[in-house]
Amino acid sequence: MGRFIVRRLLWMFLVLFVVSLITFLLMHGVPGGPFDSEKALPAEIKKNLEAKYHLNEPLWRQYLFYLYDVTVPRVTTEKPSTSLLDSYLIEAKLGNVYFRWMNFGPSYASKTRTVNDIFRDNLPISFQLGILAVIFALAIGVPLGVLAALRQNTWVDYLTMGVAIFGVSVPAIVLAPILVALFAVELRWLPATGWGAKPPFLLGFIPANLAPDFFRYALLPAIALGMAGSAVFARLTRASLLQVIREDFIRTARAKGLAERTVIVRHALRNALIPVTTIIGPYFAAVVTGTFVIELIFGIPGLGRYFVTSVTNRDYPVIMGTILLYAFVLVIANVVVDIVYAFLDPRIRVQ
Amino acid sequence: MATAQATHKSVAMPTMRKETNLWIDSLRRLVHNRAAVVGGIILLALLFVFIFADLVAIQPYDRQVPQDNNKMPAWLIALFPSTSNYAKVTSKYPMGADDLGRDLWSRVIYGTRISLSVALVGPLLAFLIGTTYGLISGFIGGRVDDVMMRIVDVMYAFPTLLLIIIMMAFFRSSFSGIAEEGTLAYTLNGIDSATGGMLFIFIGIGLTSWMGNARLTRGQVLSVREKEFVEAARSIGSGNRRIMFQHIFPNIIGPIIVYETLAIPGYIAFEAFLSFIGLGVNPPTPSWGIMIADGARNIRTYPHLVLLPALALAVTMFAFNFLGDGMRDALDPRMRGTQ
Repeated sequence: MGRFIVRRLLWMFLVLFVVSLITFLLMHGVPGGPFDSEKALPAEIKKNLEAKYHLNEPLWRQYLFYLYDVTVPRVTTEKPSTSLLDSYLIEAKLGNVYFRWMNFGPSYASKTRTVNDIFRDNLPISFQLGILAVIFALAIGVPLGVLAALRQNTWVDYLTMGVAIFGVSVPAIVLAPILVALFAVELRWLPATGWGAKPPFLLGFIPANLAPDFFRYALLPAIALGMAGSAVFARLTRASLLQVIREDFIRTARAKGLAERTVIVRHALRNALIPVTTIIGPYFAAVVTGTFVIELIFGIPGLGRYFVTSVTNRDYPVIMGTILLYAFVLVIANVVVDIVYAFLDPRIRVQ
Repeated sequence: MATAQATHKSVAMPTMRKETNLWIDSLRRLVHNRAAVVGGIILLALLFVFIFADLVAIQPYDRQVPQDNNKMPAWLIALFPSTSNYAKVTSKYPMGADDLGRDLWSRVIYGTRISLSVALVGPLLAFLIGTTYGLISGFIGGRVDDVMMRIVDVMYAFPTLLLIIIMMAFFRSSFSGIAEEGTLAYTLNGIDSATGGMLFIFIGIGLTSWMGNARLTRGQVLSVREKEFVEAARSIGSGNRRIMFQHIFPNIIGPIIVYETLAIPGYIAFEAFLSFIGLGVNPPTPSWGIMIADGARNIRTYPHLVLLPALALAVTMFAFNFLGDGMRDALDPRMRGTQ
């Protein structure tokens, strides 16, 4: 088990390395630079700016600089000065030693913010939205799937699965405007845009005041983002439960005279939910990228808007930072699912 | 399916009739599935609109009458009562005009062409790249297979959406400024502008969506290539290429078709999303994604501008999902209810 986890983690670092390399090459392959604007800068100023950010160096050196800044921790005894070029995601004081790690660089497009600031202020909002959507998807999808399987081939089953196909067919860019038009514009029950929480956050991501107002803002985006997932979960739970309740051990459990409730919850559901846990990983990936659409439509100040703007601005550190962050989340989600899966299913642990 | 055919092949019975029976059986199961039939009928209607868009639309999608902007027909005002305070009424346009004074109906109709061509070309590209890749990987096996599948793993870990955003930025800005005739970039850019920006979308989809198909094909090849009929073909001296395309390929095509049919709504949503964020088709090409993005800006005042193209998109994806589900159940009854 330990070796398995170590192998997965090593694989993760390899993937992140390849992703960073491909992204770096692609983004420098796009013509134009961060300091090309409608009104051209004087040549000397542009040259100085490029020198400041090492953009005048050969590409391979720029890449090595970047890798060095992100991966190698800095340890100093005197108090380090902080500037936009010298800001670290993790800063700690251990005794009289200053420990600083992960410098993702400044944002060229902003004069006051670094990529780390974006991670601290905007990422938690995307994260809150994503978590709420996953909770919504699971809370709606799994019970509906169980219900449909237990009432197989009745109207309950047909209705649930019909709704599920509907849920799969309606992408967020369709569902979100419909929800806004209905609940925010016509009925005026909920706000159409905005987000009910501001930095700083408790533990880095929990809104400081979980007032009803937070949920008023979060409800529509979370539903729009989680709907497709709830449909997927409902279909998968149903299929998997249908398969499990035909197994011999379920018949054994019934033959022992266990209550139907115990048979379903303790014997059937525990096994039926194993495939569901495996798709939480890929689903998390879909949510992570989906937040981006939802944030654009609902005007939520999350990480999403930085994707398109950073690419169009050629804001290299922001492109690298956001893509690496998303890749990291995806890979971690997959590793965690693999490990959870191995714990849930003894047959896999043996291999 | 594969085993049934394998036994027939190994006792050297005439295989043609059996093979057609498989497809006819599937077709019969498909026709008995009401949801799939509904999906199929909707798709036929969409195909009709796709071909005869010039007749169904009442004017070209890019004709602008600026003073008609945001005018609404009476039935839409009745549907959205809050607009009655400020909306100008017209009967010239069946669904009203958008914020630039273009007929919404015609634009939604021409939008069918964008979405359906993605629905046709997307799976085709994923099929060509992914299936070839998977066939080679599974058939050669060993070290080559290992390396090829690791590449797929890395591609899987790459956030597809972000990759395609960078790629679209790359295509758009590196090819658009090139004026020298005869270069590949110039030709590509010419085709792209002639298709309203569709070429780069196709390339983007092709490069980012072949991995699932490659994995599926490889798995299928592995499960089939040790079967008796492959051995039989080898023993009578068939070459690798013949075994791959004449013997293995027809036996694994069913699941691949199902997989790609079920992937179609994803491709459609992908194009709509790209156009939505401004990296898809070039305006004024009427993609539903662009129309949703334009409409979303005025959603508080004119909600119909976003809802009608959104409805068209949802119905199309609905139809493909219904048909895909039905095809899965029909082609391989064992897969019924899974996924």
